[in-house]
Order: sequence, then C-alpha cells, then structure tokens
Amino acid sequence: MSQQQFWKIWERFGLFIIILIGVAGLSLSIPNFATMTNFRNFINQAAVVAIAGAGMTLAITSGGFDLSVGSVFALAACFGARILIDGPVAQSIFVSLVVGTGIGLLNGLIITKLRVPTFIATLAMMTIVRGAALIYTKGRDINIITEPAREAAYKFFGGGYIFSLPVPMVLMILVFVVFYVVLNHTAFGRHVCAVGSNEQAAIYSGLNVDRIKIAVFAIVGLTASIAAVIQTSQLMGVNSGSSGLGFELQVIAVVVLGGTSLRGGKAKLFGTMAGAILVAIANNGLNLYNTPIFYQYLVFGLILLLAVSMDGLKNKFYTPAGAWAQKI
Amino acid sequence: MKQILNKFGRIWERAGIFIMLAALAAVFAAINPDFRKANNISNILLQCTPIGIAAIGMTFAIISGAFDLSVGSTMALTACVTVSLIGVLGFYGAVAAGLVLGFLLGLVNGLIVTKIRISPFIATLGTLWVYRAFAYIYTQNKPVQSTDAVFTSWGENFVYVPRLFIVMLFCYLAGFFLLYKTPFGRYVFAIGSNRRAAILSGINVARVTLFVFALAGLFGAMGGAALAVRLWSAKADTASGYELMIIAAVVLGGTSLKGGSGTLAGTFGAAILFAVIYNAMDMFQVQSYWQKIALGGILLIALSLDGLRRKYMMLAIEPVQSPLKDKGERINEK
Amino acid sequence: MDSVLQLKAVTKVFPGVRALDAVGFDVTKGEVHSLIGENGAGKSTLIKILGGVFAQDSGKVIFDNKQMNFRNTHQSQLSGISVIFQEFNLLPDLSVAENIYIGREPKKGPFIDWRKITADSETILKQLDVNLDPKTIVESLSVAEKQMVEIAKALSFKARLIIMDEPTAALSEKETEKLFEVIRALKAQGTTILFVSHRLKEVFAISDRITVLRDGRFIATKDARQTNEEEIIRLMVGRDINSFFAKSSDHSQSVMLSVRDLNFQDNLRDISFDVRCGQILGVAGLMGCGKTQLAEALYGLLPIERGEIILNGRAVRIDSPQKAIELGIGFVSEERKENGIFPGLSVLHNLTMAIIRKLSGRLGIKLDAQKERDTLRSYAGRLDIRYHRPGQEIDFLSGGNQQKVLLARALASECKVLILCEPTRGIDVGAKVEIYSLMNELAKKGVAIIMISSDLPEVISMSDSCITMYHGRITGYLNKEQMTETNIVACAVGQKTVGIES
Repeated sequence: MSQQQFWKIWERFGLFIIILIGVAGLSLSIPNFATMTNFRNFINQAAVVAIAGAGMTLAITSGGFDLSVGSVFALAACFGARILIDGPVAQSIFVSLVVGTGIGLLNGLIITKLRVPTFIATLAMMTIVRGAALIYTKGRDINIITEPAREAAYKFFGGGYIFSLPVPMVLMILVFVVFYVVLNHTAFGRHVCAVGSNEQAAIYSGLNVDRIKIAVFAIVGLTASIAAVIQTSQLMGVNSGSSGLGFELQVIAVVVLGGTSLRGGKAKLFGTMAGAILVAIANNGLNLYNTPIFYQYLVFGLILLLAVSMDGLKNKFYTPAGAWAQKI
Repeated sequence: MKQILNKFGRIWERAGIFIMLAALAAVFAAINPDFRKANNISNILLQCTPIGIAAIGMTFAIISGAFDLSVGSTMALTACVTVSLIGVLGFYGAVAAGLVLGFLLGLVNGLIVTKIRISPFIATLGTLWVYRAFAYIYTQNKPVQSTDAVFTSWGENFVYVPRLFIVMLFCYLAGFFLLYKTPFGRYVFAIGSNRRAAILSGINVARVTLFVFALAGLFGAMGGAALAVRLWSAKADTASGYELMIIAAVVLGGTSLKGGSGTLAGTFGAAILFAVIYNAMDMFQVQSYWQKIALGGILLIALSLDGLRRKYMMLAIEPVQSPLKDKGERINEK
Repeated sequence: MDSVLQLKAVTKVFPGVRALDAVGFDVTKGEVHSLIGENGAGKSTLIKILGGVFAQDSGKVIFDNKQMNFRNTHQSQLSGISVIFQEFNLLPDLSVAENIYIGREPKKGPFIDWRKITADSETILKQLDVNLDPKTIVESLSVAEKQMVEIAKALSFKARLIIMDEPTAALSEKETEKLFEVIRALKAQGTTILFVSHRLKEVFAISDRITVLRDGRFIATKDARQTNEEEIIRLMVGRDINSFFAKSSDHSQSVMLSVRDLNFQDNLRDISFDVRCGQILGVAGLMGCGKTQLAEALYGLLPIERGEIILNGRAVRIDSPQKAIELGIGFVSEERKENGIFPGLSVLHNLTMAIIRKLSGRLGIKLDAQKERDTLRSYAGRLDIRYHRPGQEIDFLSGGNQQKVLLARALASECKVLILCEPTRGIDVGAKVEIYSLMNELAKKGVAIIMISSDLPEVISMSDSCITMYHGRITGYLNKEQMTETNIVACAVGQKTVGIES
C-alpha cells in the first residue's frame, strides 16, 4: 500500500479504526467492559458531549466557535432542574431549551451587531452566564426530588430505552442525522459552509451573513441545552458551580478530533460523533481500571494530540520548503 | 466632525486602556474613600501580579499569531513544583527550578507546534489537559504548602509597594526590551503579520516560534510563583480558567488576535484594570456571583466600543496616494 | 448606437484623496471597452461603485437608461451588472454549481434540488465552451478555471454588463487567448464588457474603445483602431516617456552564478545556465513552465534533488532563505501582498526586515534605531519611495511604492545576485521606469540579476540575454539578437529550441 493510499484511508476511517482497536483491547482486558450496562454507560456519556459537538461543528464550519457552551449548559440545567421540582416535565425541558437557544441568540447578536471578536464575546458570556447560574441557585446544589411519575418521565431522557437502545444514543443519532441533512442538503447549511469558506465572498454574493451567524449561535445554544437536559436527567441534580465546567474545551476538542478544520468551510459531522465516542470509551476504560479521575485529563490531552499529529505530519509546516509548498 | 473622531480614535488606540483605568479608579476613589488607602492600593497591585506577569509571555505569543491555552495549567504545575521544593532547594532554588520547568513546558508546546506541525490552538488545548493532569499526579490532588520565611516575605511590601509588583515591573521592562529593542522582537511582529514574507526575509520562523512558546511558559511559571507567594500554597486546580483571563487581558490591552500588532503597555494596563475592578467589587461588597457578571460585562462593553471604533476609524484614514487596501472591511476578527 | 452605461460627473472622496473627480464617459452596448490608468487613477474605485460595494458621493450612474443607486452588491448583480474582481469572490469549499447559484439555489421543498442545479450549471458552462464538472470543489480548480466559474456566475445573472478587473494577471498566454474567445462570444450575444487591465498589448488586442483615467479624472476615450500604445501611455502619464530601454551589455565580466543539472520533481529538469556579474538574465515561459520553481530553488525554498549551484566559484547548498541571504542572494517575490509586505507594520520595519541583525549593536541584541532610520532614508532616496513618515503603515503606500520597499529590502542585504519575479506587475508606468533604471544601475555596479517575467516587452528590452522554459526544461538560450517576441514565444510553447546543442 502506498503512502498516498494509507493517508486516504486514515483520513476517512482513522478514528473508527482507533475506536475498534480500543473497544477490542478493553473488551479483552476488562471483563466488565463488553456488557450492556457498561455500553450504556459510555454511550450515554458520549451522547452528551456529542450532541453539543454537533452544534459546535456547525459553529466552527461557519468560521466561529463558542466558548460559552459550558456555562449555557449549566444555566439550562439549573432552570430545568428547579422547574422540574414543581412543574411538569414538558415545561422543564421547554424552558431549558429556550434558555439555551436564547443565550445563543444573544451571543450571535453581540458578535454581529456589536462587532465584538468572537473569542472575547463568548468568553465574556461564559463568565456572565456562569454568574447568572450561581445567582439563580444562590450557589447551592439542586437535587431533583419530585413526584415519582415526573421523576420517571424525566429520567427517561437520560437513562431510558427506545427499541432497547439507550435514549441518549437515539437522540444523538437523530440529532446528527438532522444536522447532516441540513448541512448538506439545505440552502441554509450550504450557506453556513459558504460563510466559513470565504466570508467576504459570501457577503458580496448577497448572503445575509449576520443572520446566518446568529442562527448558528442559536443552534449551538440549543444543542448545549439538549445535552444539559440529558445529563441532568442522568444525575437528577445540578451543581451550578461545577456543572459544565471545562465543557466548552471538551466539545471543541471533540470536534477537532473528528476532523473538522478550524478554518471553516468543511464539516466532518460524524467525525465529531466518533470523537465523542472515542473519548467516552477511553474515560470508561480508565474508570473500570479504577484510576483517579484526573488521569482522564492526561488521556484526553494525549488522544487529542496524537490524533491531530497524524494530520499535522502530513503538512510539512515549519520548514521553509514545507510552508512554501503548502501555501499556508 | 470626522477629524475629531479620527483624533479621538488615534488617542484611544494608543492609550485607551489607561484612560479607562484612570477613569474607573477615579470613580471608585470618589465613591469610597477606603479605595484610596495605601493599604488597598498595594492590595490591588499585589492582586494583579500573577496574571500580569503571565500575560507578558502571552502577549508575545499572540503578536506572533499564536496562542497558549496551556498557560493556566503551566502556572499550576510550576507553582506546585516550586512550593514543594522550597524545603529542599531553598526559596530561590525552588523558584529557579520552577522557571526552568516553565521554560521547558513552553518549549514542548513549541516543539509540538513546529515539529509535529499542529496548530497552536489545538496543541495547547492538548497540553492544557496534559499539564493539568501532571499537576494532579505530582501532588496526588493534595495542596502543597510552605511557611518558609523567605517565601512568605516576598508577599510583603517594600515601602508600601508590594515586592511582587516590583518584580512584575522588572518583568515588563525585560519584556519591553525584548519586544521593541531586539531583532527577535521584530521577528515576532513579522511572523504574526505575514509568515510567508517572514520566511522570505530570512527569518527562521520555526526557531522564533519555539522561543516564543518557551517565553510564554517562562513568564507563566513566573506568574505561577507569584500566585504561590500570594496564597502561601499551591494546588493542582490553582489557576484554572486563568488562560482565558490572561488572553482577555492581552486583547483588552489592545493586542489583536490576528497577530502582527500589539502592545505590552496595554497588557500592563489591562492587568491592573482587572485587579482594580475585582478590588472595587469586593469593596462594594458585590456578591461574588455578580462579580462574574460585571467582569464579563465590562469585557463586552470595552470590546464593542473597540469594534465600533475600528469600524469608524476606517473612514478617517489619510493615505498617501492609493486610498484603498483592496477591501473596505476587515472580516474574520477572531 | 445605444449607450448601455453612462457615467455623469461621478465623484468619490476619501479622507485625504479625491479618488474620482467628476468622471463621465459612455459605454456602448455590445462593445468591449477597456479602462486604463495608473495605480491611484481611480479604476478600482469606479469598479466598486458599479459593483455596489459602496456608493458615489455625487454624480449619476445610468445603466440601461435607468438611474442606479446600488446599496449593496446584490442589487448591482440583480440589475444586470456583474463584476469579476481580481481576487475572485468564490467559495473554495463549495462546488462549482453551488458557487454559481449561491443564494439562489433551486429547491425542492426545503432541500436543494441537486439535479436542477447541476443541469443548469452544465448548460451555462457549455455556453462558455468550458469543460468542467459542476460538482467539482472550487478549491481544486486552476486560476483560469476559477475565472470561468466567475463568468458563468455572471451569465447566470443574465448580466448585460460584465466588468473584469485585471483578468489576465495570472493567466498564461493560452488561457488568455481562451478568455478572449469567450469575451468575443459574449460580445456576439450582445453582452457589454468593461475590461480593466495594465497590459496594453492585450487591451489593444481585444478592445473596441479605450478610456483613460488619470488622478481620478477622465482624460479621454479613444477608438482602439485609431490610436496606439505611445499615445495611450502619454494620456495615462501626462508626459512623454522616452524609450528607457537603452542598455549596454558587457560580456567580459566573470560568471557570478552557475547552475548545473538542477532537478526537482517534474518542475525542474536538467536546468543549467550561467549568469555573469552585471548581466540581466531574463527567464521567460508560460505558467507552469517552472520558472517560479527555479527562482524558489535558487532561494532555498525547494529541496533540490540533484544538481549543483556554484556561486562565485564555490559550490553551495542553499537550504533556506536565511542561507541564501547570507550567501548574497536577494529575492523579490511576485506576490507582493501574499509574500512580500508585512501588513500593519511600518515602512521602516518592512524595509529593514532582512538586515536588522546587521543593524543591531555589537552582540546583535540591541537594535540601533538611528542606523535603521539612516538605512531607510538612503534607500528611499535612491529609489524615490514616497511615504509620509517612517512609522507609517505600509498598507497605505501605492503598489509601486510598496514594490520599491520590497526591492530595497532585498538590496539592503547587499546581494550579489538579485532574483526578481515579475518586478513590475501591477505597477503604474511612472514607477516602472524608476524600477528599470534601478535595475540598470545595479547591473552597472556588477550585480547579477535574474529577472523572471511574463511581460515580453519587458524581457526583450531589459535583458542582456534570456532563457526560455517549457515543462521544466530550458528550451532556449537567446542572446540579444535572438530575443524576438516570435522566438521567445516559440520556445516557450515548445515549438522550437534556440541555442541548445543536441
């Protein structure tokens, strides 16, 4: 097999190959790994990050990104949890989604109308929204204790089964299928790619770039809140200080892992899903080995670096000859 | 009218951050006399040192067009190592060890970026986790403390001015010299401005980039040491989230995220500004949760003013002959 | 005859400069009308107004007998004017079809109708006699193909006026000919073309009428058949340009640079030639012939596979621009904006960037500001670079002045060999002259100059001798007598060889 062919195959399937190796390896070395319960464990974890990752993939494809998703996650979770204690499940979920989407809209407006650089805007929102969450909960945990019927209904989202598949997994697949169709077969999706590909040309072509960006950020907020609902359902509680802390970097990392370029214009949606699954499997394996939780950070960082190295080694970036040939 | 806007824009570009600083300080001092007390001022100056020092290295990085997301983790790791070694190497020895470690951590970042050819954002995203993990592993998630006399003495004042602040001033002086008075500093600007042109001008881009990252790690370690001195201890989760604050300080100070332009003085001003705001919020007994909101809000306001200013400045420029840089708008301000 | 476009007293003022001053002229329906002028004459401002990028301050634009006030580019497109900018307005990650129909995609319900968009694109491309699969991603296309996509886009808008800004700047001769065929076909269909270009030969080849702008003012419109290059140049510059191409060559000088059997992949094959001190060697060839790679190889940007480079008698390995500069080789790239200028940095910094090491104190650590300023002053004087103050951002200098700064940057390192790639591309006639006299001056001082250019008149008049390349090989070593346009072109297309022993 020539080098060319190797890289082509790696580009398309590399992540899946690693997942297969990981699954195989762990199944053989840990007896508890290849069980339905364990599968449900890590796939449910993966779903939370993956769903937020779908939104982030859209954002990165449009040439932006969102550092506030962790705080949005927390706020949506807090609202949802608090409301669930007294109110119906539908209301709780609805409010969570509205909160997430609303903050996303706000992000979009700040970036397009006030012309604040994306990095600063989403960073600032990250602290503001976190503050809001802390104020809303007065810094205390929320434990969801409510009527058994409601509890059961809510728990369905995080722990139930549809057609004997875990609900989060089904939701994840659903979200990704919808995103795939929108990104590749609707004008809106193509326009998102256009904006990330060459924003100036998109403007000249008459696309309403501001509106597209606002929509994208709203979607990011929406997916973050969906993820929040799922996790809150799993935990049946929220800690407003620590919920979603570091989530944004996890989500961005998973998108990058999946192969979507930070430059925008090209989206690798299912790569994001694969990335989230890979990380979840790795964490799961570590748990089963009873390693202290902070080793997960190590593994996470190493996986990210290793996976992206493969990509990087293809581009001879920093030698004069290399940078020249690459026209970077 | 356009002339006035133009003049105002120019002044703001150069000294905006200091104007904001002076204005806010004046307002706070007027409202609450406690603010003006020497005690409080030295407190503010003490508060701003960790981020202020670490931001020096970050300024270099951002001007060169790169990023260091791992600086918070570097600060934590080096702080933990430093404090743990005070007993063994004495204070100065421990600090030196910490600085060397920071330099090496930065060097590793640089190697990943230049040799393995990963973009700085992703590379430092990865090392952010790896270095943080090292901090946890090294300390086994237990805080490290020291009551060494020399150690704690550095947290005190020297004639009302915190010793650490004096250290910060020296760091900035060194940074100024490096950035504005040496070929290296010029190369940093060149690389951030146009990498290909830098290559053609004979600049060894890889080597300069490597050194920039090492510097970021070095100043990060210095900031971590300052943090440890202030807290008399260090933990694995120290300085979490600091990387974003540091980058915010650099950007607030006037350095563009695109690279190729930047100001160390601005970073200095921004670091102090952050400290002033936090101090004032404590003083006015703003709940810590509202503090978060206030800080974010200030960031937004300051930068939207900046964004709008840049939009209107474009119309007030005086060219020599050809008035147009091909496109009338700057897009993709990230 | 119908006027499709009438400009009446169009004025546009930017702070400090009158980009357009009461410009008025007519464009007839169905003609190819060229717009000529030096840099800063106002051509690009005018194009942007017509394209809807911004509005004029006063005056009227009348298109198809209706007054137009475009508020954005889309309005301009919808009314039948399409502008093809030099840098293109394409979306690299999307397909040809998507680019053509961006914003107007045919839909089936909420989804894009792929069959229709592909079919429609194919129809238009066939009209242009272009062989492109509409599903191709634009990023992978060549410059000429991208231009065809832009033209297809214009046609899809049923444009009645197509404005092309320097369309041939990056095209080979063959591709330019193809473009002209397309233009003639469009003309036959009744489309009007407004053609902006620096290249007088091409302008005369394709235009019906020529309008000259100078300093933002309308100077004249001439019928192409009733004027000639000298007159147009005179109108552009406002003064007579005497032939500045007198050059004496001296063959007794020693060989400064010798290249033997240079090889790099497919781009360079068995390249061998010599350059003497004080000689100007022209390198001519079509796009893709390898002349750019040759320049890059000599400057340390390509890992050479086989071959020798002998500089001043010593065999050298040039593995980086840094090394090349140390060895005394200077380089000015053809892409001023992409590879040359440091945007946002001052004129001073741009000029001295390659030599600041030398300008720093004893340890090479501290920069000597005085020395820097002196360097700037001396080169600015020599080359007549116009700027306000040393700290001024280079972005605000005209193209010609920017190029001079880049030239100065290469010269400041006191090179013995100077490689110039398209030294006068996109530069007005006045500055061109200055650069040519500088080249002559350098040659007199003994610098060996390698000039890579696709501007044949330039090659013929400035070079002492020239080599032609085709598909990576040298197909001709031509001395002064042999350097005729016919010969050069023939060698460049591989039709014949000159000066090569078999």
